[in-house]
Amino acid sequence: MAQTWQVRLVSQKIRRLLVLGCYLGYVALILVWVFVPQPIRSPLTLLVGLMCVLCMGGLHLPNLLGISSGEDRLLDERQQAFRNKMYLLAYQILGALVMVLALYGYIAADSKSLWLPKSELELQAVFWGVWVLVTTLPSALVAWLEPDPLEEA
Amino acid sequence: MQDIKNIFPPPIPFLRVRRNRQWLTALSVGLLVLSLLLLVVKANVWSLLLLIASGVLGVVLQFATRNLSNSMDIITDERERQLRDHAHRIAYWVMAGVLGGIVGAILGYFSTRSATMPVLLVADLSKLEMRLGLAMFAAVFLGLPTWIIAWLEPDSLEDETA
Repeated sequence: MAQTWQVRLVSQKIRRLLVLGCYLGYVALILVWVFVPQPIRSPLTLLVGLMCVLCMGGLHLPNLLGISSGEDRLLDERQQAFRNKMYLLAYQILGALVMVLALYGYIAADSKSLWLPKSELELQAVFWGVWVLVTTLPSALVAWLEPDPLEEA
Repeated sequence: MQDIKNIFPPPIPFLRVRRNRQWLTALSVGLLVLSLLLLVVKANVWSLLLLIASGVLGVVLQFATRNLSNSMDIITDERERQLRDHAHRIAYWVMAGVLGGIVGAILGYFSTRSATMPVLLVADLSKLEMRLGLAMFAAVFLGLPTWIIAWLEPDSLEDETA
């Protein structure tokens, strides 16, 4: 029989720091790439990119806080229900975001003044942004919204 | 609280049978895929008509599942909530795959052509193609959880009609 155990999450403060590190890390990566001159751009990009990747990794650790990707047998009933609820929220957020961006693209294609990714590098940035968001959003919602576990007596 | 699902199963007996709902789901998805294929080849009125037909079937399925995919917690019981959230969990990863595929395809399209691109892919599309593409995405986004629920939900029990 498969062993079952509850996933015990780390404190909410750490979880929220990881979420912020992941998303702000991505934004910082873009800013560094665009605005920082070349001699220091590469090491800085590496550093910020590493921070972003480590935070992303943290969001995916099943026994740390990534219960959104955890197997059902690793989660208790309440955690499973909460995880699935977060998927509902993530679906709504993702759908709304994509619709807004698609409408923006539709309008920007007509307008010459609105920004659209034109170089391959800009498209790469968009691609990795989508990848980061899509793969971490449910975990990030769980990490952000799940309250701290109660202290055992 | 009263269990709304048990009081109001789908009023049309045909829709109470899971196998029938699965056929309707497959038909709705099939029409949407056909519409997409027509859009890729050349956007025309048939593409739009197929999209509308798929949407109509989606509405029928929404009716058959009692609009469970959009139901608030307050009017659903625990089993329904579980099914609704589970459907969204599946839908999320399907949408993630679709989205990743679209963005990856655009990236791949330009990567293989030139390092500097004059315009984004959308600028190459006609107005009609863009509008249909948007409508199609909206249809998938709105319909996907309902399709999954219609596919997964078991037959209604006979005593539920009592």
